[in-house]
Amino acid sequence: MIGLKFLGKIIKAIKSTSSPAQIAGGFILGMLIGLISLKSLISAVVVILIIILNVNVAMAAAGYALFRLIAWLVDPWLHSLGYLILVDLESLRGVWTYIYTVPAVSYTRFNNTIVMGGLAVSAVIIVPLFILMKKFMILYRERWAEKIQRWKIVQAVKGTKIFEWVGRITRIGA
Amino acid sequence: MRKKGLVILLIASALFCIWAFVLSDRWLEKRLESLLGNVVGARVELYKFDFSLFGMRVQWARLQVADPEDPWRNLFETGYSTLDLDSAPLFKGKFIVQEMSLLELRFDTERSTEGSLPEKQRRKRPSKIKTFIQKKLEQKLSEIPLFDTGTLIGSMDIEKLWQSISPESPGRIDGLVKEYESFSSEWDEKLKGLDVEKETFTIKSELEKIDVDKLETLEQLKSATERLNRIADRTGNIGETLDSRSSEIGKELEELHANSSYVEGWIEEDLGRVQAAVQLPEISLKNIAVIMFGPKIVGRVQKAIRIIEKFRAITAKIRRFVPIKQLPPRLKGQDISFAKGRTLPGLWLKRVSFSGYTRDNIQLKGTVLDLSSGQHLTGKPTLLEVEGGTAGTMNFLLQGSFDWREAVPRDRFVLEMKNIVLQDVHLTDFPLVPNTLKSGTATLKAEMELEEEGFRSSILFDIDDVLLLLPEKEGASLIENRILEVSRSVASDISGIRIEADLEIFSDRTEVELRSNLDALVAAKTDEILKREVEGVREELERRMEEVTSQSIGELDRITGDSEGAVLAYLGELEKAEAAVEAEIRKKRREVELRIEEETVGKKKRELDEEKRKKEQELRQQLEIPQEPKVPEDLPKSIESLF
Repeated sequence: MIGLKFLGKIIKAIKSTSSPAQIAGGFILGMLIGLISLKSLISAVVVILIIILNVNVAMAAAGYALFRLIAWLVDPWLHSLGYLILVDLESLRGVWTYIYTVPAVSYTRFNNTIVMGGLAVSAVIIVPLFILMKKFMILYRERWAEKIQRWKIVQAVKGTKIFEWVGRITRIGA
Repeated sequence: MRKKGLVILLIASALFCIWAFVLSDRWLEKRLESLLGNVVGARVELYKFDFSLFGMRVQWARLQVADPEDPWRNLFETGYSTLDLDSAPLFKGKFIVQEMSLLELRFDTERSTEGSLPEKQRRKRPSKIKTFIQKKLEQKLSEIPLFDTGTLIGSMDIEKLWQSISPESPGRIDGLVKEYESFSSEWDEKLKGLDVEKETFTIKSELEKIDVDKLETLEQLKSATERLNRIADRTGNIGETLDSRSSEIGKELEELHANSSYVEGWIEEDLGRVQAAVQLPEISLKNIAVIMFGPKIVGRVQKAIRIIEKFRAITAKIRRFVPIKQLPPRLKGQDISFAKGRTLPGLWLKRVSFSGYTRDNIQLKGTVLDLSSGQHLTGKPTLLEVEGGTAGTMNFLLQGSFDWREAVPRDRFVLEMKNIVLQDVHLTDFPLVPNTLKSGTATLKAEMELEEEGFRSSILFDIDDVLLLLPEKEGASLIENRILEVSRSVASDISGIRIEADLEIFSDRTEVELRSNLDALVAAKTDEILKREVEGVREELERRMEEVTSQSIGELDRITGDSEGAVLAYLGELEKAEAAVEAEIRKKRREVELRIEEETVGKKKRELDEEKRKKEQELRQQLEIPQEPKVPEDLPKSIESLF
């Protein structure tokens, strides 16, 4: 059920009238929350951005789910990266110490190795991922959209009530 | 820009404001209860909690903190209390309290509800330092040999001692008696085998047969002489044999006498074993002190450590600037601290003043300064000072310092108590000391220092005007009686008790040293009573020794007297008979010799005399000299006998 619901969301998002930039924007914002952590103030800010900015919410959810799974898989690597940045790179220690004393910044949990590791990875891939996602959506709509719509599985998902229900919800963020 | 999104945000902000004004009390109350509950390890409840957002003042009518060890009792509870919060840090989730006042503080009160936390909120693992110190102390105490009350009686069991001594002299003396008996029968056989009596009797008969008067001729006399010579030879042989036997018996008697002279030595040897077996059991002074007060001290130390633990739980461990890389659970990560002066800890009670009563109705008042969840952030150690007393009979001062600012945390306690009135206090379970203190006045000075997981403490406890409860009952066994005797003796002699304890527990060493004036007193009393007992036991063993040896010695004396006397008397008789025979032989021989002489020399003389007389007569006749008067016939014999 959940898998179908999730798939429905993605199909709806891709098929929606949202522009490729809105879809890519939603995806990368979801990616940020997925890689960082929901408990961080950064994630709260990102959620507010998703709500305020005209990005695709379904793609944000998809991005979050996908990158949460990736984060879980590469957790030891993210932890090591975060530790490297926070502890081993002594040149940055002054910066972190200063930021740490800034009110409310502690809520960002930047001093957590996973948050910092996720943040670093996000910082590196956010722009390329946005561009790639945007280009992918353009290419998709131009070349593959018609074909994919004819896939039996897509037809099957579209025929379910859940798909209709997801559609109603996603219209809020459309 | 999405209008709907903005609306949602505005609604969320409005809800927050409503929460802040209406529900913040409840939120803050729950937050505080949860925060303190996690620290204590048991339920913390606030009643009539009120938070004034504008005045930044928190107050409550009652606070109760459950005891994690006994959830149906409170560690403490307070009455009306207030605290002034700093507003700005509160928005960062930090409770910075400028002034906190706790009134009507009471300790160890009953609860109407169970105060344990839900399972998941309880601390899973016991405290490392508490476990470490407890383990070390228990290990040290277990190394101390248990006081064996058997030492008070084990060496005094007369039957056992008598068996262990197993005196050898009676057996040896009996052996000597048997030897005497054996020799005695040997001597009888030897002497009787000689047939001296029969032989002397035969010789006597033969001598009687020789009647010298009846011998007429010289040949008969010569024959008698020969017979006498033969008899003399036989008698001589008997004499030699008797001499030889006498000499043998004499040597054997000498040997037996020499053996008998060892008897005294054997008895002394046995008495020496008695002396060696009846020794005072060794009572180690050091052990007595530890046995007497060790468990109590350990109990107190553990209690103190529990208090320190609470402070340590609040005062978070200093975070190393370069943290050690850990392996946290997936997606949890590791928080790295970047401490600087401007950062505030989560909880900082700058000044807490309190007043109240203990369970024993002792009035207390005190202050806690800079109690925080991060001393490395406040830069100040937590200081505690409590003073109190009850109507001038007791005064105490407790000062504590909990310094976690450096890498090695250092906690220090100093407790001074004066004029503590003690009544019906259970003193110790040690059996040789009266266990209840009826009355006394005590002074206590204790210092306790913790460095990371190491522990150092010195305790001095003085009790004056001591009145100990004397055990009135009579013991059911010898050992109980002896213990009671020691206990009574200690109770009557003691006027003051002084206990000193030094404890050092570190990972590489554990030193537990306890001293008390009771140690020496108990040891001396035990020694005195046991010495008396030892003397009695020794005397009894010596009496038994004398009893068993005197029987054997009596038997020895009897056998020596009888056997020796009998053989010597018999030997004497035989020698006497032999001597009598010899005398008779000599007599007979003399008679025979006289007769022979008479027969030979006398006859010639008579012939010469007759010839002389005849020649004299012829001469007289020739010269016509008158005849001399006749000399009596027996005169010449009488003259001869004169020569």
